[in-house]
Amino acid sequence: MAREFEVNENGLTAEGFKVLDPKVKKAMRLGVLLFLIISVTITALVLVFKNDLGDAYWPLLIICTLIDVVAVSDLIVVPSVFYARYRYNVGEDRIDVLRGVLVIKHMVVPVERIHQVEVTRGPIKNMFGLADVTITTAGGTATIEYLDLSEAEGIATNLNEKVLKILKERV
Amino acid sequence: MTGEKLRFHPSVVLENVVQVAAIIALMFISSIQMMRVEIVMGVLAVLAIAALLLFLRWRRTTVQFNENEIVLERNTVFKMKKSIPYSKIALINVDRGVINRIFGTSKLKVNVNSSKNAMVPEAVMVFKKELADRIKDDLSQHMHSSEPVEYIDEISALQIGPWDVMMHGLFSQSTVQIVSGVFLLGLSVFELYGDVNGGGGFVPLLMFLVVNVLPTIMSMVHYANFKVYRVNDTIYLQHGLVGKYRTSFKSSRINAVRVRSTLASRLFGMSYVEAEVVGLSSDKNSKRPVLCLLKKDAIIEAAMRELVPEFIYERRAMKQPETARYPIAVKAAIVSSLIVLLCVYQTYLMNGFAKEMSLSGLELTLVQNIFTIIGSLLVVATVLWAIWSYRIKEISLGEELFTFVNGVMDRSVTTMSYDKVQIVRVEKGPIARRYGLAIGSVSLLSSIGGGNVISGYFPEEQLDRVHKIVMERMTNGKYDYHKNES
Repeated sequence: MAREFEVNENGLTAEGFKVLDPKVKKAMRLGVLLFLIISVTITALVLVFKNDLGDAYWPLLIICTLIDVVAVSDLIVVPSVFYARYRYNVGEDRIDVLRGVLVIKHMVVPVERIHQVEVTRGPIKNMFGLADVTITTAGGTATIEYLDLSEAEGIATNLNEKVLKILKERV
Repeated sequence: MTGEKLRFHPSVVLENVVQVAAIIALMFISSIQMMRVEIVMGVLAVLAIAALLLFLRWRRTTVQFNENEIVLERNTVFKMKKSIPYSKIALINVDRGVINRIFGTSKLKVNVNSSKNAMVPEAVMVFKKELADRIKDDLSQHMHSSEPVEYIDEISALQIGPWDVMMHGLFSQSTVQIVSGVFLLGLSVFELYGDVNGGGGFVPLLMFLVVNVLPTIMSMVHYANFKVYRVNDTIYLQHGLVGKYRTSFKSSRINAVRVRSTLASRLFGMSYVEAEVVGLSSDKNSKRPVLCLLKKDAIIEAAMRELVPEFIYERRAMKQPETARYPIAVKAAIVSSLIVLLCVYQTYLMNGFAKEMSLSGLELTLVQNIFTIIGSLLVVATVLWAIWSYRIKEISLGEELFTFVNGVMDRSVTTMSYDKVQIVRVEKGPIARRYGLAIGSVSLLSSIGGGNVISGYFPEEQLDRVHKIVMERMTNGKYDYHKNES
């Protein structure tokens, strides 16, 4: 594993970044599984209607099969790698998100630049008690994904308080 | 601003149902003649389900106007909780459509200055008209207000004549646009020459007019009578032949200055200057203001000293290190391989086509080889792109400003202030990682919403300096928020 993702006995990296809750893997797998069911159904329909599809049959079958293969690999590989390669840190004055499987991305958002903080969760994340925190700045948004709900709510409250404090100091 | 949880006016459900019905109607309008009872029943069922879901969404959506923020909460399957601090609100619009008028309601649209909602409002709330007006007044009092700038008429700081306007119209077009224009014009002449029955060459000629001639004329009309000057810290800009565009903004609202040049303009040693200014309203046709039209590079430098001295510093340009050639070469190899694969497939198809049509002679040779020729040209272009991409990209990191140089054909030299940086991203792929290289991406609030400025491959520690300096300036007090309103 790349050095920046290695964690100590407290579950923190050398820079103090945190690790996600392991149930993120289950949530991701369920999401991909649902997608896989749909894509396999479409592939099956392509096979059933082979004669009706004419010349489009082979290109469609190849595309559908490729999507199925990617979805299967997503199901087996991606959740574990995503979990292993996702670190975040909400500091006093900045938020860091370090992630990436092939391409490692390090994102830095100064707290001072935050306009708004949003906690969102779809049905799958809701099932697993997970949520995303979306941070909006004037130049774009940054998201910390698959956080434990209480952690997400805590981060959102903490950031909102910090932003309000900064704004009050300026009045 | 009581903090009480409010629900939107129920008419919002009807409005949304009408929108869904309109979308369904649009989808089925073409097949209206073959409408069967089952289809109509199905559509009605979908509409009923949509109405039920929209009703539940309305029931479970609340808004709270707290002391310092608006809190929007939706407790449906897709849960959402959103806080909008009053001081971050940039704009509140009141909209009254037909349904609003029938029910005596108003739609409040709240925009904050952010990329995400430069076009789409951050919150849309429907209330009874009186309540909406009261909320709007209260919110307006809480909003951050910037000093209005009055327009002063002065002599332009730059000499921009009709010749400059014409040159700008012709050569500020992107290289792709110019090349496709030349190709279309050539094609139309070729078709016209070879067509004995008349009418040939009309389509490419029309496309040439749309792609090149029309934008050139529009640019000339837009930038005619160009005038720009600076008084104290305010920049005034006016231009236009038919309608006069007048804009003024404080220099503190400029997030970045970009010196641009196209391949054609560089042949004449010319470039032009754009500024990223947030929240301009007077120039709706060109939201990214041009501070100086195409001029010789020496004049551009003088114009920048006169208009935006805040964005001038001693640049120490850093070229991409030699090892950057490896990730660039890998990218080029992947793109080239895809081109070759596509061309081989297309050539196979074309051979089948040639057999079916029983072509012979020159036509047969052309059909059999056209994709080999196109593919070879594209691969050569990709290799050239890789070589130039390696040579051109630069970064310079100063104390207050930093610059990214980009663009193989159409070049841009973007100078940004650390104090305007919103998000910094540093990305490293598997090849770049081996050589300690990364790509930096900086998010700014641009004139057209959010904007990212991306660097080439540079040592990771150099790119990390960008966010380190941003944070340092905040902690050591060099960052002054008064000068950096966004």
